[in-house]
Amino acid sequence: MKTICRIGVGGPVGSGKTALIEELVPRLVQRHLKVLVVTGDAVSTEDADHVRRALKGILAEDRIAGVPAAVRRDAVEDLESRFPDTDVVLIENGAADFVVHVIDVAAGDRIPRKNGPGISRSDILVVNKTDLAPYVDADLGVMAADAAVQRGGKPVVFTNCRTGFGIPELTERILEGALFDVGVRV
Amino acid sequence: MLVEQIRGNLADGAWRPANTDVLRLDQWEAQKRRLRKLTDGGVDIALSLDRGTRLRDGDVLWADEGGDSIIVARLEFGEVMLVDLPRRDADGALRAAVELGHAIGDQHWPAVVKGGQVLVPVTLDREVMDSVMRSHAFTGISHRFVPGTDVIAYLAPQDADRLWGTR
Repeated sequence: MKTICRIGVGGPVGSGKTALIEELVPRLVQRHLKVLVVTGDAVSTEDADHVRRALKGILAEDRIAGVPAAVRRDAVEDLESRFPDTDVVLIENGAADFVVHVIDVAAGDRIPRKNGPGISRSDILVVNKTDLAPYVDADLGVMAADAAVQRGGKPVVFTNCRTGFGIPELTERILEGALFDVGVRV
Repeated sequence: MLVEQIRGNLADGAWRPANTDVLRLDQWEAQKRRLRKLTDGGVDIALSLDRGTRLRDGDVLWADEGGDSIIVARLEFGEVMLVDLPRRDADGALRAAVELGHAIGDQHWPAVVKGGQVLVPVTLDREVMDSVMRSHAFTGISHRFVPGTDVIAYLAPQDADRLWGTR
């Protein structure tokens, strides 16, 4: 049986994980990939509801699940078994084959230097909300340089989910890094 | 090069390659089923294994027809912190276990209980972990650091996944 690629989208609360998933899914669907989403709601169904609304007409509602962290792995397996022809499942804060770690500019430009497993070990580091940089005196150049030091050459992508900036590059990085054997379908 | 199956392991004794290229994976990468990385020789390996498959040191990822040239996975493990808990009395043991669990969870460190000890992988820096442990000033709890290769042989696959997997 084909193994469905699990892509984790991790990072601090409010860094833009859900928004990023909402931006990524249409681009993956555009590449003819069959997608599932498991959002990381802690105590509500707010995220899953938001994703369902945002992806209306792009991804069927029943391909999106919202579950608390404790049962996330079960939810992923359940969703995968209901849609076995899936290519990729995007999982907020969950166990995965490939990890995209999302931080945001407004948390301060010293975040990459402070390091942490998400900063150094993730397959792709996303620095989100680049539009806020001038308002919080964040130097994107410093963030890029510090991240490069911690990550030994692994990709860092700057994004702004409000304008879509950086999302095409992120999509390409995910396709080449994780979906290398399924991303070629046209 | 797409690798979807492990061809064997150097320890099988069946391999007499003239040329061996090496794909070096750290402890975190070794838990992945899907990975893209260059070998020492510059070959772009795209690994796509079944979810049940677990990479072992010496796994042969590719071999030419005669087995003269092969690509082998080398797993490189970092250090693990071994924590000993007091067991003299039930109350003391319970208190120590809860205090340690709280401290470890506060740091988001993964942990596995094995052979009466708690194993925690060194995630970033041994000095930082050591300082965190000392600052808690636990009673009766001691810790030391050992090479990951010393413990990996005793770990069940789900233990290794818990320690180094992407969670």
